[in-house]
Amino acid sequence: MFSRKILVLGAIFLLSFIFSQITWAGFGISPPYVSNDSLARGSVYEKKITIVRGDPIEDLKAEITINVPGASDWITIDKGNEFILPKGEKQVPIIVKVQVPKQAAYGAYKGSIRIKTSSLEALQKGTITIALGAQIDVDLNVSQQKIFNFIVRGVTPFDAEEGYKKWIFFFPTKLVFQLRIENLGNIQCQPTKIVLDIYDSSKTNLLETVEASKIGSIKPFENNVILANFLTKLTPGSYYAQFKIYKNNEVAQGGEGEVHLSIMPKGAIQGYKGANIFDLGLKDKAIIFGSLGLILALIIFGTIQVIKKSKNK
Amino acid sequence: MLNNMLNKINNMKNKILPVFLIFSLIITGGFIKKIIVQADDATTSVEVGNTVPAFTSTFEPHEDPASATSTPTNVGDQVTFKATASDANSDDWKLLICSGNTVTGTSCTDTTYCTSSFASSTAEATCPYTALVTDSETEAWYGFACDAVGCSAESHKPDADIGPPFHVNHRPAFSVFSDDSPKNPNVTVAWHTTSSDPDSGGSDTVALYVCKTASFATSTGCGGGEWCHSDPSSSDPTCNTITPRPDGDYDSYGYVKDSHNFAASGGAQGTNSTMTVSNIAPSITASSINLLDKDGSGNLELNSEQTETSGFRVTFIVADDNSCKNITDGDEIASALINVRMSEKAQAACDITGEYNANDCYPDDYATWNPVCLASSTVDSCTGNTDTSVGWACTFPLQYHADPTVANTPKAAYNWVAAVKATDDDSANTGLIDSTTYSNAMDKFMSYDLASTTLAYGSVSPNADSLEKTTTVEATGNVGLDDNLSGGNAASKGMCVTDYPTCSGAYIGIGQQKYNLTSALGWEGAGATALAYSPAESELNCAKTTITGTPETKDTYWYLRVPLGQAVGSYTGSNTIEGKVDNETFGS
Repeated sequence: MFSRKILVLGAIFLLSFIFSQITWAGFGISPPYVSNDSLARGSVYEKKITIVRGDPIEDLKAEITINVPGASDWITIDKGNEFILPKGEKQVPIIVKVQVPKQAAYGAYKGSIRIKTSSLEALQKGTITIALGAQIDVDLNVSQQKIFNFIVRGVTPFDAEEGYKKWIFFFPTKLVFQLRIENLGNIQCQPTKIVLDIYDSSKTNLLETVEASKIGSIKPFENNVILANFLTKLTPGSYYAQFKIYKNNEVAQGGEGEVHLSIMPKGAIQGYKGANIFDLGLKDKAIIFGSLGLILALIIFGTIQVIKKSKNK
Repeated sequence: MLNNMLNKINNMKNKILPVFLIFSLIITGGFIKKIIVQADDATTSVEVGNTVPAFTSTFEPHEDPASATSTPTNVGDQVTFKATASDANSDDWKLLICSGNTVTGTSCTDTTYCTSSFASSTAEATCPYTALVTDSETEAWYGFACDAVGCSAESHKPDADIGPPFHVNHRPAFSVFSDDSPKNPNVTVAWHTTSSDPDSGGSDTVALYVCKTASFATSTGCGGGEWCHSDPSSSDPTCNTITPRPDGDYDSYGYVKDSHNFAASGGAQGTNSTMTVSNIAPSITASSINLLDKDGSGNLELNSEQTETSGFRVTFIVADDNSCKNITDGDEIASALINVRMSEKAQAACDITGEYNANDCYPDDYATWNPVCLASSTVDSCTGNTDTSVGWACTFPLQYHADPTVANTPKAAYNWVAAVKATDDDSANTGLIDSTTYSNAMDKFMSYDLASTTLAYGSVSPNADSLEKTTTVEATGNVGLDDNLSGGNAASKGMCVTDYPTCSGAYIGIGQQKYNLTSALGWEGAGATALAYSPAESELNCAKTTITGTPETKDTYWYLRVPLGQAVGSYTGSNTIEGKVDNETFGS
């Protein structure tokens, strides 16, 4: 009698343990890690992670659990610890932000950030749902050192116009290079110097060696573009430049190569901004600013004389 | 001196003749008068003789305008002679210009250059002479004032310019016109001639004009643009210019004119000596090739689960001495292609269709991989036919299992490289150039799928175990997988009869479910791990997928033990599978 009762109960139980149809399929993250080994106290590091869904046929709730012993409080997600993965969105980017306290202990911090999803609908009664999730590996290091380090990710010269004379001044050809720099250090950085060896179109005759007159800078941990300016006497034509981008006294990773230069006749490039008064040579600058100073002095002197005369009257 | 004497004699002759005539008339008249007087029936008659006209000035006639050394008359143009004369008989008169200084009757004994219409006495007469190619460079002329009966003595303006001779300018000779092309772009090209001027009296020189169209006037030069013109030269003028950059054939029409703006005719005049600018193969510097992620920065990141991620880019700058424009202002660079590979493979091992491998090699030759390459003004704009570079950008997709090369991956020693080739409109190409400095790393993409969507434990009696159930994880990214497994609520209630996860009623503890990576061992078998609320890593070691559409899989085996005395009911629960990168074995 007892066993028959158990059997009936078991039959009922059987029906209750059928999984519902899972309404999502694939899930992933790209890239699956947050890593930085050169954090400084007080520094901020951001990393974009893309949450990927294979078949986003419904909204899902994403819950974030941060488990990085000693550093969990430093880490925040731009969308918060709970947010919606919208229906129809196969990629949802989140920004993981690491704000290192000024009193943070130096050393390594490893752990993980877990993303767990769940349906916004009530679970179907009598079913077990398998929720999907993913783990972001976290590997941080707070360093006592101020780290100056970068790699060059790209060098692109813009077309330039030839220099020109105006009055007695020569405004040189202004070359502008766009550099993509990834700052791996924990301080704002810029290349120490950039040198161009400019050759003719046959690459046999060295025409000029110039050093950047102006170089942009980039914030810690950023991967972004900066500009570098060079002043030359190149005339219209086709040239090749071998460049070296220095990090202190050594050529930076990715900081050596060759690019083609196209120098155009004046007026050929719409909207081109060539060298200005601040790009002139020292001698020309001295003449201009000296002249301006003289004029200013004469004006002041004249004004004083006028004031004196009017007082005497 | 001799001329002066002759002129004086002539002048005297001119004076003596009328005086003689007047005296003759008087004497003759006296005799006639005597005879008449002596007659009884006298009749009165007189015969007035003809007097040839006389120029009103001894300095007539003259050329107007002057046909002089510095202003010669071109062959075909007219020399105009003018003079004024009076006739004592008030007869009309005409101007006669002869090549010699004698007349026969009222015509030139030698060649007649021109005869004017009759003009009234004291009126100006004009006559033109059209210079002939057969004329000498200078031609003497003599002027006569004639009436119907006779002519005056020869007369002319004694002036070097408007007096005799008149000067004839002949066309320059121009027999050969050629250039020294083909030439490379932006170098000196020269046009040569065989040309001279037949005249010599006026320091005659010739000059060459090379025009872009068959349009030329001696006064204004080339009508449709000029390649070059020479300085005046005694013969065989040449001129040169810098070749344009776009390759092709350029019309170059040659024209020669002399220093009196008289153009050559016939021969090589106006012929086309086509200037040919050679095609130069384009080139790409390796440092200009950038292999970029979709947003243009950082590592290459896949982000489409079990399918291609599109939008990766290769940018590069193509240099071409023929400029970025062709001769018709179209694009000089006609096409470009890319082969993208992981650097473990050599360039030559990834350039034909048979070498395609979604893990590490994407040759353009592979028909179902379709990168799109276009000129890109963002990379480097083409500003015209003096601009010798142009940017190109190719967008392309990569499969979800393309090998990662960042740190902590099996291929971390390598990176991803783009081999690039650009071809110009004459089919000259750069050859395949590998990216070097600005290649890129492929990042990790952790992604998975569940092949089975149900886990039916079936009918389980209290104090009994379910049959073995299976969940299958498919690797749908580019890394091998482990996973974290967890379930239930924080109170370790795994399945609830009501209100999961609050679970206020009957429940089954989460630990009643166990999983095992080995099958057929049962709930109590070796390796079976009880499921918990806190996630635990399962060393799934699912391999990285290497064949598109055939994902690597790994099973996990599940068991449920229903406790003795478990209440009857339908139990609701949720287990969680968190995919993670297999950092230990990379899924191998």
